[in-house]
Amino acid sequence: MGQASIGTPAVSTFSPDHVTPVDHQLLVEMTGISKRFPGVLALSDVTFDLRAREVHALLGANGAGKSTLIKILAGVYTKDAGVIRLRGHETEIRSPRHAQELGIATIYQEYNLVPDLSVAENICLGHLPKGSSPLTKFIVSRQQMNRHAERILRDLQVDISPTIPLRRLGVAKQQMVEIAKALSLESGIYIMDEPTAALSSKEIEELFRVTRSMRDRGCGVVYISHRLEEVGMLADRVTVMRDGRCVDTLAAENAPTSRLVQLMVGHSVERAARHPGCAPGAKLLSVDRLSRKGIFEDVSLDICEGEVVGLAGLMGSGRTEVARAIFAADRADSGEISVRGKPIRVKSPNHAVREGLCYLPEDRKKLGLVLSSSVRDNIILASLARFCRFRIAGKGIWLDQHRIRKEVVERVKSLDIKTPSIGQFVESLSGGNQQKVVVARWLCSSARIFLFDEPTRGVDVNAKSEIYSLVRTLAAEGAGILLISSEVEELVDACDRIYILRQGRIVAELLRDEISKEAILAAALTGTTGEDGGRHRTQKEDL
Amino acid sequence: MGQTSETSAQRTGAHVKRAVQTLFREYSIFFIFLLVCVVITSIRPVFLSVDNIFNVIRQVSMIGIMSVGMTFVILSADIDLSVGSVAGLCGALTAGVIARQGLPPLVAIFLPLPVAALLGWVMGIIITKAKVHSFVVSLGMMSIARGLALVYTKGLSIGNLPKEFGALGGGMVGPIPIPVIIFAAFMILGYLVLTRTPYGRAIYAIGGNQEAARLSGIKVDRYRIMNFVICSTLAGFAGIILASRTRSAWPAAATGWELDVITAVIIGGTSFFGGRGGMVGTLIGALFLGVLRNGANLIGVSPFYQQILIGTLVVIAVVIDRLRQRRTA
Repeated sequence: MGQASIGTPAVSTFSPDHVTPVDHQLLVEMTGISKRFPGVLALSDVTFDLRAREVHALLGANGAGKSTLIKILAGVYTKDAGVIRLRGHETEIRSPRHAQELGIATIYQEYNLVPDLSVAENICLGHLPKGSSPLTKFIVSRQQMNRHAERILRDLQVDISPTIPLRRLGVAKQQMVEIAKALSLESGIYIMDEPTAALSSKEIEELFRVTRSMRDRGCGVVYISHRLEEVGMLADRVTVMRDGRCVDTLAAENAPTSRLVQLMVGHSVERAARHPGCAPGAKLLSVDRLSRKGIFEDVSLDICEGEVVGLAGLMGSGRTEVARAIFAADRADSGEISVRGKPIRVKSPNHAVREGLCYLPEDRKKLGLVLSSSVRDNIILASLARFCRFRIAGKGIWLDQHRIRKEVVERVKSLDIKTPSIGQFVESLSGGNQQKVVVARWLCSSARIFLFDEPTRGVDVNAKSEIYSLVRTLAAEGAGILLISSEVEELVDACDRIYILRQGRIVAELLRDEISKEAILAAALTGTTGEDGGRHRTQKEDL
Repeated sequence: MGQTSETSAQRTGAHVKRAVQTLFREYSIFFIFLLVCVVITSIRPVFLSVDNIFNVIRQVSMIGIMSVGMTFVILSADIDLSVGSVAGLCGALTAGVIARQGLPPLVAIFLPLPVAALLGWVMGIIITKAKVHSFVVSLGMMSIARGLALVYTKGLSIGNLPKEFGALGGGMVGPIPIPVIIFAAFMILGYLVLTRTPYGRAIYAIGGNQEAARLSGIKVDRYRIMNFVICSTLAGFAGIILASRTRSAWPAAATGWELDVITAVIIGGTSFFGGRGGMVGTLIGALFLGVLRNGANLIGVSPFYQQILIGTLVVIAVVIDRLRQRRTA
């Protein structure tokens, strides 16, 4: 019953003629929403609303709770407490499918499209028009489908033929199809999760135009983005979240970028004393104007002996990609890398390892560990050649089991990896211990330059501090470390110097005394460090 | 004092318990194998006679030699369907150079091996560099190698090969058939390579998580190519033994053997998805295959039923592998 009464206006909002007379009708009201995950309070008493005919931007740093809130609205998570009203009716959103039926359409960053189907098929997928007679009931009516798709695409004023296969479209056009798909559900409530992340500036304009036209026909759009400048260009209202709370909601015209940054960062927190820095030694690694088309551009950085260098940036700023390119896990298009002042062309990870580099990947289960192998095999994986006893033509052919055992046991002990034996399969270890296994692998190798990508993700507090003290020890022993982390506080505590990436470019380099949470976030969000100091790198300095 | 001895006894107990658990988990098929042996023996005691045991091993020795190479390939999450055809081709080539060129058998048995290695290398290159799935590439090679055998023999069999040539497949050293010795030698070699060399450990890592292996500096492509070279060469060698045993070669020799070989490896508990398993399992798998056929013959089960039995066993082995993964994942 409740469903029917909600379903009807959902259809009517699609055509502007039927919009209710109240111009600012509330489509969504979320009050007192809380959500707890094991160990974290992800959302605490959040209030959020969305009106018809508006674009409501949702801002916040990584981990502020934006996506949790959105996922609750989209039916992916269920809330622990609070009330959701849709068009005035209190509603429990049970599943993503249910949310769709209730008229909530989500346009995710990753497109949920099938590349081999036509544009029209993608748009109508899940509700393909079928014939009405008993004979044609099971047959898709192509004509009707194409007409339906064409009408929606025409409404959007985008020039895409409904019959061509999706895979022939570029990213931006695919996104339009994704939007058309959401529109074909005639939903009324749209959630757009960082839709501009993969688009060029011209394509972004096109997207804005489409979004505005969605608004003008009476829909409400929740718009999530990391790019603050987009707020002023598109949004009617802005809500800023921080640490799982709703900080403020304000009209877009009253929200200059500086104010938004301030809201997102919050008050500065006094940190415990940082580690005493050590004087950096000779240059270990220098990267000169490394570029990969469409991903990052002209990235230059140095790491010296005994130095912990941070690489900060929002999600999607290209942090991981830069590290992977340095390690030759992905190919860079241009740029030079030198190790100890000697320019090298790293061709493969194998080559990089031989040059003394190592890379600890962000996703340890997918990229770091061989889950079906033992702790021992995982630890020796990068240094098999070193454990060999006999050599033929310089290549080791026989593993010295005794030495392996001795050294692995030593590593397990010194890193305090909790495992019943070194023959244990790593898949049965906890996240923190698994991460330490990957770290141990690189300690065993002869690496001097450590590229650590989110070493503390999904790791408990104890393991976290152990990993950071290990990073310090490595630096004290003369290694160079590049540390990528989403946790700004951790970067502030651990780093001697921090580079900040924004949209694939290094926008700032903060020296020891300039490092602060505010400066990092300001640079990552806007591209300038503001009054906090910090060298704003200009093109000239780069050259 | 008494306490320490008690704890050490407890510790030994725990060790034994863990060892038995590992044995059960890793080699559950081994216990099924023993059970089957016991059942066959209780019905036909002659099963356990030395003659019969060697007979069984000799029968599986060629499949066994091929399954050593196949274990390498499957462990790194690839597959090679061409082994039967490569065996047939190498058998034909050996027989051909003896019958037509009159080469001494001792030379002739080594001549086709580089050909087999080359075919494996070509497959490996295409699989790794063009990034085509090994199933497809080896399926193609299966047809190509068989075609080459037909071209070389003009579709006819080559018979009446000299007696000395028969020694490789039919000869004995004391009570032990020569193919059994070769089989055992390759098994041991394969076991040592897998467990004691960087190459072997890398194969496990590649099969378990290819990307993690690559990011650890393992030369993934090189090792995968090497696997195919080894697998093809061993298949070729098995084909030569087959030709020697029958002192003849025909172009359709060893047709369908690839399935027996894969069956032996899978029954032996090597995961079809790579990363788990090993040579001990493959040995048991190959023997199991032989024991089932031999035992069924001794008891008088129709060969038709043998097919059903072996098929059932393959499915059971894979189900066990899945369960094992689910439990530990």
